[in-house]
Amino acid sequence: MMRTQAGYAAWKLRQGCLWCCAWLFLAGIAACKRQYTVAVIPRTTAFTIWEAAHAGAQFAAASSDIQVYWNAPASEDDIQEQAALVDRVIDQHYEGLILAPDQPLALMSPVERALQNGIHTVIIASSLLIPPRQNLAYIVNDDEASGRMAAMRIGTILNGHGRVAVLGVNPQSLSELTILHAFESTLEANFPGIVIADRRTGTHNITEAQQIAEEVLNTHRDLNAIFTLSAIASYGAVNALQSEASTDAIKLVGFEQSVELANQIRSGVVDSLIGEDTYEMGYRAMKLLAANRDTTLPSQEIKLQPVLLTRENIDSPQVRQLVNMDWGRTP
Amino acid sequence: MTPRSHSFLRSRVFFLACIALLLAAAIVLYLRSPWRGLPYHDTFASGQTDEWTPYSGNWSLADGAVKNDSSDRGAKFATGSSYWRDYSVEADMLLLGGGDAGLIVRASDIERGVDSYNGYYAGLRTTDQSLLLGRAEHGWIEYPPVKMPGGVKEGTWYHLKIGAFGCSISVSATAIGTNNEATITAHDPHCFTHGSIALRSMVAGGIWRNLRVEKLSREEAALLASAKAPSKMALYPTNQGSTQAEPPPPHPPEAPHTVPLQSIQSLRLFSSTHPARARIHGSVILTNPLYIQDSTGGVQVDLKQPASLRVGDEVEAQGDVYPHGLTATLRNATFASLSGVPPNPPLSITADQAATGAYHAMFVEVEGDLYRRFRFADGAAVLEMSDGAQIFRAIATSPATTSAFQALQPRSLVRLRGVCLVDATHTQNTVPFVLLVSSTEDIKVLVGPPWWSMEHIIILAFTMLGLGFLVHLVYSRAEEWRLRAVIDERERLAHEIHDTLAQSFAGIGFQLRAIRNRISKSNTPLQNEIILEELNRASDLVRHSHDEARRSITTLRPDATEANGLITALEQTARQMVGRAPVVIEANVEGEAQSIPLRVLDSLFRIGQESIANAIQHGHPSHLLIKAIYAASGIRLIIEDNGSGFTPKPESDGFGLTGIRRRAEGIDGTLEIHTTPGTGTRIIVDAPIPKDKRPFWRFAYDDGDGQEPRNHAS
Repeated sequence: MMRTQAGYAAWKLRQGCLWCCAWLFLAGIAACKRQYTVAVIPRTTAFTIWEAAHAGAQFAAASSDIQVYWNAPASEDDIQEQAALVDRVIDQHYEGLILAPDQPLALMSPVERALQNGIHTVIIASSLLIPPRQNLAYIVNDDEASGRMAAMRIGTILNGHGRVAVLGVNPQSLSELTILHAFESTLEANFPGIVIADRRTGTHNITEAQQIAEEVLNTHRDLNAIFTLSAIASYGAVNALQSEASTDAIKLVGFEQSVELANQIRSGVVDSLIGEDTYEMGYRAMKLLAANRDTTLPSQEIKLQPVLLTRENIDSPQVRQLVNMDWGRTP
Repeated sequence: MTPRSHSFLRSRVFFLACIALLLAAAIVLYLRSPWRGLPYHDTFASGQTDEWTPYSGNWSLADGAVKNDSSDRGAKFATGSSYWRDYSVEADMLLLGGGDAGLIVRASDIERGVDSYNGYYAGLRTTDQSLLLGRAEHGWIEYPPVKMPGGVKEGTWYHLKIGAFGCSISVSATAIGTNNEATITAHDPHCFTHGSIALRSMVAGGIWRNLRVEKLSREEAALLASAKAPSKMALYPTNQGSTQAEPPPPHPPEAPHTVPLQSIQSLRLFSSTHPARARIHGSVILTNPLYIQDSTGGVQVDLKQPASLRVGDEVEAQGDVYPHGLTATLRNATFASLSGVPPNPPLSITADQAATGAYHAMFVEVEGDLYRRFRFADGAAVLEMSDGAQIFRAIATSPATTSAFQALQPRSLVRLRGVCLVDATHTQNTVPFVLLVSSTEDIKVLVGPPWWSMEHIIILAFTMLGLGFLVHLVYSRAEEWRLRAVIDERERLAHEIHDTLAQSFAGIGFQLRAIRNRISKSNTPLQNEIILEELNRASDLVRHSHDEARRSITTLRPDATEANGLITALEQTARQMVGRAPVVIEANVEGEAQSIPLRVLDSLFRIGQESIANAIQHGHPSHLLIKAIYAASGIRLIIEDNGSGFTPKPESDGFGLTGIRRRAEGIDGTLEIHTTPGTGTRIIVDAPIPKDKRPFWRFAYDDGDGQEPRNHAS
């Protein structure tokens, strides 16, 4: 009897050991299973406008148990670096990609490769030339609305009369050309008394942007307003206006927001900014990926309306969200 | 293999080699024939230009003609055999602009460049309204030009014909549909005698059609031959090679100063709602459709009225700007030609740079790996290429480039030049940009595909299998030959033992039986002398058998031996056979001693032994000569006696003579028997000695036929 009890105890011990091993094995497998990871690649990490997109994506990811990989080129014109980052996403077998392309053509091939590798991709900010399709969605800024909004603002503050210069147009940016054409057509339709005196292409260097703005100011002494199509061009125009002491005489309306430009609105140097809702873009893109993480991503294109940032609303909760740099903070 | 079959094989190989040599000579003569490929006629209707080679220019086929719409200086398009000698070439020709264009005969050493060829060029020139003829030898010397009646006009068809016979060259030009004709005949004492033909244009560009090359008729040849050394045909150098064609009077631009000059890049920023008028200044990079490029970008221009422009023409155009996306178009455009300049060199950029759209409608050079080839529904050949992160396409715009595209192998690294376009019409929104490639010169394979393609691996595998099979086959045959050699050797040994030891043993046995019988007959008294004699005979037979056995063993060893031993052995044999008979035996050796292969030595010994036996048994000679003579290539053995001789008859050849003959053939030797009744017999055997083997053969297996340098004592 004693021997029987001892045998039973040994049998129980062995059974316990087996169960422990089985649990450890399953726990190991569970630990090895990788978390759903989404890469968020904005145009650049140099400007604060993309911190809002980071914040939106991070907030949506936190509630969906998604890991976020965040990186972008140090400069907006470093297209090769952005393409290399997309290729890295492919190599790392991430499940999702949120991309704000620097250029509509050059990122086509990398995005095609990502799609061929089954990566759910959401393009934000501005479109590529690839039409939306399965696993490829667009959540972009409504560029035509941005152009119209800028035209209406300038038309209003100039009371329908005056001369305006457009600075910072990137001829390789489909988005900026669309804004420009919408701006021009809106002015022609609603404010025929406003003349576009000059159009200048842009640069990715603030000093050069300032030189271009100063040249325009010297060429067109009777200028009433400036419309800049990028944050760099806005910085250059602000510096030029301040050096010419023309901040009161010439109204500056810019496209793309930043913390620094928001401060210039508060100080009255910049009249207003046409803000892209990059927070909403990041948030919605991540939510879209989270909702379809186990299925295919439906084809869709969403155009988000721009936001006009003025001295009156610059500190409102909605606008503060667009110039938020603390992406780790819940809005 | 017998010597006879060796000889047959040798003669057959020699015959085949002669046939092959004759065939090769005939092919070479045909290829170098001055008439090969003549008459030659190209209507350019097939859409193929595979036989032609471009040297700069922008050559394309259209409407049964070949066109160079480039204002390149010295663009050439060559074809034909470089061995053509006396022939005429003629074609209809039209000049697209100011400059000159024409035909080259007897062309060789053609390269890219203005006068970078050897040959004679004749053409029509707008600057002096003349027909010209000159000699190019990577430099240019021109004969006095002749004014063309009615002048030389752009857009007018002329018929140009050049004949070359010996050192006389003649050219004639006729304005088609008129009687206006000009001719130049010249004689060049140090002429180029042969060469191919080429089309050439100098700044003007041009169109050629209905080209024909023929042997000169007898009348034409006679006419040219009479033009030798004419008095006014002195050569004099001109600056044709560097002269810039006089530009045509510029078309006055439409209200030139009312429309501001714009950079082409800025056209994209123009209003899309109301097309604005703009003026641009640039050079033509593609004519159909028309693209103009300046330093900032390129633009497609739709002319209000069709015009003849060449690649490289510098123009000022103005029209309505229609921006669309990343591109713009200038419509309802008019233009003014400013001058003809060499075409813009391509901008060397990466695919990443091209994909930005900044180089839209510009002439660029891009490298990439060829990914695949295919055709659009309209038949246009397309290359899909990749470089870094980018995938792009190249589209052939001419049959020549289509053919060149088809010749490219996937996975090659290719450098392409062409007009970079990013509009959706061309890219179909599937690739960031495409290149329109219009000339085969714009395609260059930098690195071919790697050899480890699937196709090559399969070929390699089959080759290895084939080689393995071949090696196995050779090995099997070698093994078969070795076995055959072993069997032959065994057979030879069996014959050897049968001829020597077995017969000796039989003789010994016979002697021993005779002694036993004599002893067993106890009723007769023993005759000691007789028994002693029979024992002696048996003992001799034993010793003889022992000698035979030792000699046979010696021949089985691979050690070298020489003729002294042979002659000594034969002399001993003869003395044994002669016994106490009064026969004088003479043995000697002449010449410088050489090593003789054992097989040869053994055969000679057998032949000598048989000959001596025959001489003693049947000839009853009083003198017997045994002699060996060394020669450079062999050894001669002579057995001569002064016996009764015999009448040689083939049917009377006993086994002995047959055996001698067979042994002589076995060592590739020859046998001569000189005998008549009463005059004795002289048997001569000539055996060749194989020559020295090459040094490295010494290490190879020696089957006994070759000689060995070692000389071991047995």
